[in-house]
Amino acid sequence: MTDIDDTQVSSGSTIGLTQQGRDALDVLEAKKWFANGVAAFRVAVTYAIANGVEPTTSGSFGTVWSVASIDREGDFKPVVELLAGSSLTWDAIQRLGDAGLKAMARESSAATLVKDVILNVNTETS
Amino acid sequence: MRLLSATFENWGPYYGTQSINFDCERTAPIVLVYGENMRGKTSLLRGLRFALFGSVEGQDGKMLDPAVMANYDARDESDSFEFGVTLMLEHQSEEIEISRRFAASVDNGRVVLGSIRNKMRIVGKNPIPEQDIQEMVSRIIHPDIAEFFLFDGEMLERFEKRLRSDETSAKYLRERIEMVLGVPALRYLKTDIEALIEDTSAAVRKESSQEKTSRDRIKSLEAVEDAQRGLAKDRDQVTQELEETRKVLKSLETQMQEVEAIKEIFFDRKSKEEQIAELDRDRLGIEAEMRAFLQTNWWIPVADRLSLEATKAEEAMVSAGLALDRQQRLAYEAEQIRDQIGKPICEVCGQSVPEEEFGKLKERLSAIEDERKDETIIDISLLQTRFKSLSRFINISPVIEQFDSFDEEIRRKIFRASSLKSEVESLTQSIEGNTVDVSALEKNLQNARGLEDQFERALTGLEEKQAEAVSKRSVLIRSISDLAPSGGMAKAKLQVLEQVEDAVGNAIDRFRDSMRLRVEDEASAIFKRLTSEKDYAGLRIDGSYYLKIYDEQKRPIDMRSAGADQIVTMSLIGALARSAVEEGPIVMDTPFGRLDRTHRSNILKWVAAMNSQVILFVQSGEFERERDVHLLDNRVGREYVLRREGATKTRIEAMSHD
Repeated sequence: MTDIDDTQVSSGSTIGLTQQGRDALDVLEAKKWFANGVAAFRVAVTYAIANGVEPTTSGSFGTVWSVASIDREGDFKPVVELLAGSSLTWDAIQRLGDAGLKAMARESSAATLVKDVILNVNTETS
Repeated sequence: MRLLSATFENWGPYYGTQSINFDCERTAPIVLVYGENMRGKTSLLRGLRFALFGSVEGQDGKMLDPAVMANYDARDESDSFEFGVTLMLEHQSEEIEISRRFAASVDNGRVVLGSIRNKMRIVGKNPIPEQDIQEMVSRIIHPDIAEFFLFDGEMLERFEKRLRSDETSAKYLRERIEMVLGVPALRYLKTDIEALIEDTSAAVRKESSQEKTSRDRIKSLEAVEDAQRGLAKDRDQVTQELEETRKVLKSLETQMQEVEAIKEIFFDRKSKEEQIAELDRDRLGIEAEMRAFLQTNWWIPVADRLSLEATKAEEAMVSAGLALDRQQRLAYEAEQIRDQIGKPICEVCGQSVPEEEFGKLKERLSAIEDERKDETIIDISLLQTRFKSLSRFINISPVIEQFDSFDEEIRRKIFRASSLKSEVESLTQSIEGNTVDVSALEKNLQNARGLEDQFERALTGLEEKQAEAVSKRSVLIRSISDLAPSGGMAKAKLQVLEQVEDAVGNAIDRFRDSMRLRVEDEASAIFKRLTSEKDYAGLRIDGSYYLKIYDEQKRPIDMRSAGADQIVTMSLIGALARSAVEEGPIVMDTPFGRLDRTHRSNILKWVAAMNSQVILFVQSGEFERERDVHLLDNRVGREYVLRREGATKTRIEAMSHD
């Protein structure tokens, strides 16, 4: 993973998206593939890990959700840590999710259904 | 007569030159032509009629401009082209070719008909002169009776409608039977005799005009003849009005048929739109399930890795457990040995321990200490925590299968809805631009039918009055003739003519009755074969031409089902066809559309049992090959499919028939 711009870190209790990340979320929400933005974000994080998508390193992150709403059951962060590193912070997860959303939105333009995107391995970076 | 082949050139939807071979073995004389609606089945039937009679008839029997049969693609390709039909047939062991082709030009996209070229030749002989072609064709199959051989489902319906009403059916049936059996020709003879009687009675009047009584009767006769003239004039007027009304009625019925066709397409489209809506509803439901699924299974993109990690975590936990167990066992053993070495007397038996035994224990202790030197601290709880968080990914197959199943189900629904949408689009195109006011049309149709009934009743009334006048006049002529001086030439001639008139009239009546009975027998036999109603024993056409179904006890059945009406019609047409000529092909266009399965199957079995050549143009709604072809009892000699190649183009494709 590339170096992270330390001026744009998460506060630790909230998760935000860049403007491009929000735009990507709008694209995916229009497709009605996900129940809500949280569901899309969580899939986007695992999509980014599966496809080696580089986390977003620049841009301003505006708060969208609380960490509690992203990991209400408490099983999300442990699994992500298992796959992407045990000391993964919420800030790093936010950057992965932002990049994952953008990559998924790009892929969605040629896709009919969500499976075409999330099970279509893509090594392209954001 | 037997059809051998037909070749269509730029005819209707048949672009270029396309042929159908009707020539089959006598043991398998049935030809099946499969085509969905708007593929060109009716164009084939029109083509056969055109080749025979040189005119193009609409489904209502009305003449159409032949230009409507020019193929659109041929028209769009060139400024001038030809279109027409060539028919090969066999009649009295001779092969005959009839060809009719139009030369056409195109003006602003409109087809302008040029000359028609009619050719007819008996194979191996000189061509028939063009002016004799119609006469020759009429000898093979007369145009007046062609409708009983080349008929379509629509004609059946019209025929049936007439037969359904008691008021019109008797007259209609009588006309049809007489037309097929040639009674009108005999009537000309009677008319000629009547004209001779007219002339002769004038001479008789002259001979007997000296007598006062005669003069009075002549006056009465003249009054009757005046009345007759008046009646004839009224009759001509009513006949003319009736004909006009029938023309209007026909045109309205044609429009109504078009509306019916549009309605059918509309309902078809509506049903397809409902199917699409249902598919969309189902799809939305599955998509909602898929969304809920992804809320809890957000890890789907990394499912494979998680499964692998879970397996690894399990293995690590198991092997760490084993290693920890060994560490604990070795520690315990070392502690036991150390304890033993410090005690020279055995605690169990109380005897002294030999020196060599101490040596062995020290060796073992040294080996254990060597092994424990590299021991690492195993934190099993950490591994257990890791496994716990991954354990649900050990067997993820059911979850992945569920995801795949949602995906496949949604795709299926999308695909089906998309095909239906294309069908809806094509149906919409086919009814575009139709803005018929159905209720006004129905009202006009109702009015025209009322007028037709009114004129028919007036005509019957006038005919009855005319018959009365004829009889009165006949009595007067006889009485005048009786008063005429005997020995007069005119009187003698009149007497002979009156006897001849009676004889001819009686002969016609007897001939008509015998033919009516023949048609009745044929129709009854066919009806019994076709009907699915056990209570129906046959058909009867009584002396007044009332058509009745009767039961086993010879009682007429007044209430009958719509299905029975259709079968009655089919039976009558079959009987008329059989009574008209010795042998002729029967060509049916969409004949079973409105019949139920049992009647359809009965008709197919009857068709298979006929010795005639039968050509059926069918669509999938009325005849399904897999389901129905066995009913034709291996009598199918050839099969064709009308394949759609475009909105205005159909290809005739022979099915392999081994």
